[in-house]
Amino acid sequence: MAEPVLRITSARKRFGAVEALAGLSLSLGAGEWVGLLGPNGAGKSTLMHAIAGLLPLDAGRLELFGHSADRIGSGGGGNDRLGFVPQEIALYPLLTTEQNLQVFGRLHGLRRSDLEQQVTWALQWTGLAGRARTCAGELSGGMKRRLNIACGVLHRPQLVLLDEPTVGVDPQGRQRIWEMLTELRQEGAALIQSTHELDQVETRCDRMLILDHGQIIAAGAVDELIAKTLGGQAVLHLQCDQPLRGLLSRPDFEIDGNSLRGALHDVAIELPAILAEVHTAGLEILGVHVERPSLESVFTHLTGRELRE
Amino acid sequence: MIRTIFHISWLNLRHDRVALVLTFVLPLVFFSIFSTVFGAMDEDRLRPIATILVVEDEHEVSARLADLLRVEPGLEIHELPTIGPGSEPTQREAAHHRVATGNAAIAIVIPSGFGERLSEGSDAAELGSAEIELLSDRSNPIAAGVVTGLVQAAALRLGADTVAAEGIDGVLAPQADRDPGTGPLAIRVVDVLGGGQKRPSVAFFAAGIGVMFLLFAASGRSAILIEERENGVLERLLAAGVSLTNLLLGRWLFLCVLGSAQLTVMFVWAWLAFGLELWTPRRLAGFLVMTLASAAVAAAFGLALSSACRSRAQLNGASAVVILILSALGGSMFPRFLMPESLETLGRLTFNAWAVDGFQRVFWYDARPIQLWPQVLVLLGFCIAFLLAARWLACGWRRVRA
Repeated sequence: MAEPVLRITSARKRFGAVEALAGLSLSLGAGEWVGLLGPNGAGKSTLMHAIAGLLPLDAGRLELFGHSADRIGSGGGGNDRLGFVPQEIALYPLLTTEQNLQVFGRLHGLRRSDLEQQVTWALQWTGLAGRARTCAGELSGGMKRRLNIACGVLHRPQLVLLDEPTVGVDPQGRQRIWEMLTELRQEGAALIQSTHELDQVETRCDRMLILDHGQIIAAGAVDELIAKTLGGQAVLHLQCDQPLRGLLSRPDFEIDGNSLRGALHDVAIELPAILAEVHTAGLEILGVHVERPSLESVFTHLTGRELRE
Repeated sequence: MIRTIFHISWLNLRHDRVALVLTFVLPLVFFSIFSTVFGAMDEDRLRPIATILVVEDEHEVSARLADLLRVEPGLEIHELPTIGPGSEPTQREAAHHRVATGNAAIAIVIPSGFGERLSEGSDAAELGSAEIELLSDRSNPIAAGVVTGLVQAAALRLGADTVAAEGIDGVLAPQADRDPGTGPLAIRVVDVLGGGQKRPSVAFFAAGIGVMFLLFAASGRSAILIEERENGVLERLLAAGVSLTNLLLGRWLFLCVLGSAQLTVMFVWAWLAFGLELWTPRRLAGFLVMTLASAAVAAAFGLALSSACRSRAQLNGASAVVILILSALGGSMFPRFLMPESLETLGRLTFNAWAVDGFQRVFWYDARPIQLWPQVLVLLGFCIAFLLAARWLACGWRRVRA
């Protein structure tokens, strides 16, 4: 196997009483696209910032392209093989689209002909060629997002960190951004992308990392995660007209007022029995929904339904 | 509905501490500074004027007049070391030099033969030849007027004492053919700068207003540091390998150039519109030195202030408060010689005062660039302190969501 582009071993980072990274370890291969999932406060941004060299780790080891990354981004010079796309629209709003690309390209070491070439590429890639002379502050939300990504990858890094790159963008804009990221990945870049859009990463990422309390609580491809955590079960959602008190046959199901939720191993056999029991109890069934296990099911199963903030 | 809107306005104000300070505290501070400065004039409590006394005459009357001046509460008398006959420079020349270089506001010279002419004179013509000389710097127009009055008052007391002791009559009494308002003595005010400075207030205000707006411009442009923190550009810059030190130095350099251009425009306008004398090699060199030093310290001040503020709104409020107070104390709004001694001393702790003083030395006293070293040294000291403070405060920027 080729040398991983990123290897993190037992990373720890604490902010006061909060342990943002609690001994986290991971490895990322070249050209791999990883979705970084987790509830708010799980440690995703801390992990991204640590990889980008914006935060020193309290303990543990972080290697980029086979070298220790302790000094990167901390005054010791940047790593031009790394691209970072922050969650915010990190652009100069009074500069034009082209000027934003030029200044960030220069910061990443691009000069003259290379810079010109990459700016032209980025304008085409983002679909913003017609807006090259428009001030970034005057672009639409989706255009700003695309430019935001382009400024982070203009120097064609081998590892790109994307912190929620599609947040606040309409479906068409999101689609364009996913296509852009797919192109990047096809060209060989490894991507780490934090997001809450589970349905999108489910179909695009090679691997998911689910973080909670500063640790990776599950990792793998979607099917693998589903099999590991839900065992390939379907999930039943049942809505009745009156509060449920529980099912004698399925004490493992979750009851929440008039609603019931639980996993079914064999829908054809188990569902009729459950419906019959509810009917016998004198309750009227208002709705039945059986869903195939998804990444969201896995996520909810692993991280729970309680609000974290 | 109106009540709710009123309540929302109140809640917003209550949570905006800077707005509260701007609304309630800043006016009090300004009122206090202006009242302290100009209230003293209303109550006849002007600070003693630092005055050099040169007594060239050995006559008894001159000695008694000098003694009366020494105890005059409105004067803070400084006497130069005694110089032997024929020594160079004479006390008069030394006093002239100190006033001409801005190291003293005024000098009283009791010339040789003054006492004798005064004692023997019985008519207006003889009394007119017995005159006191005031070596004056017109950049402080108040000093000459006040000292003239105090010398006349001392002369009247001298006359009264003489009459009581020796019965000399008529001497030192206002003469019938002289303006009664001028007092008993002839006093000749000598402009030590030879009347070469045509527009003293232009030089003062070009410097004072220029420095004040230099600070506003520097703090306003420094807000980009806050914007970069808020919109994530800072993270992007740091991830690209830009260190905080380089980021601050890059910004500082730009603000230095911007500030220098701003001051240049200000002084060229003062030349074009108000006749400020700018185009001599000495003045241009002095202007360049003071402009670079002032722009450097203003840029560093702006960076330190914006590094300390968490939001653009906070910076706007804080910069208004701090810059207006610094400008009032530092002499951008009115000359510092008007201030009571305590306020003037406080003003010396502001870098504005040193910048304004430096420009004054260039355009009023025609100082050579080398003579500006105290001002430049202090300004550079402030500059380094502000840059270090900005760098230290910038360490707190690396706060990240978990």
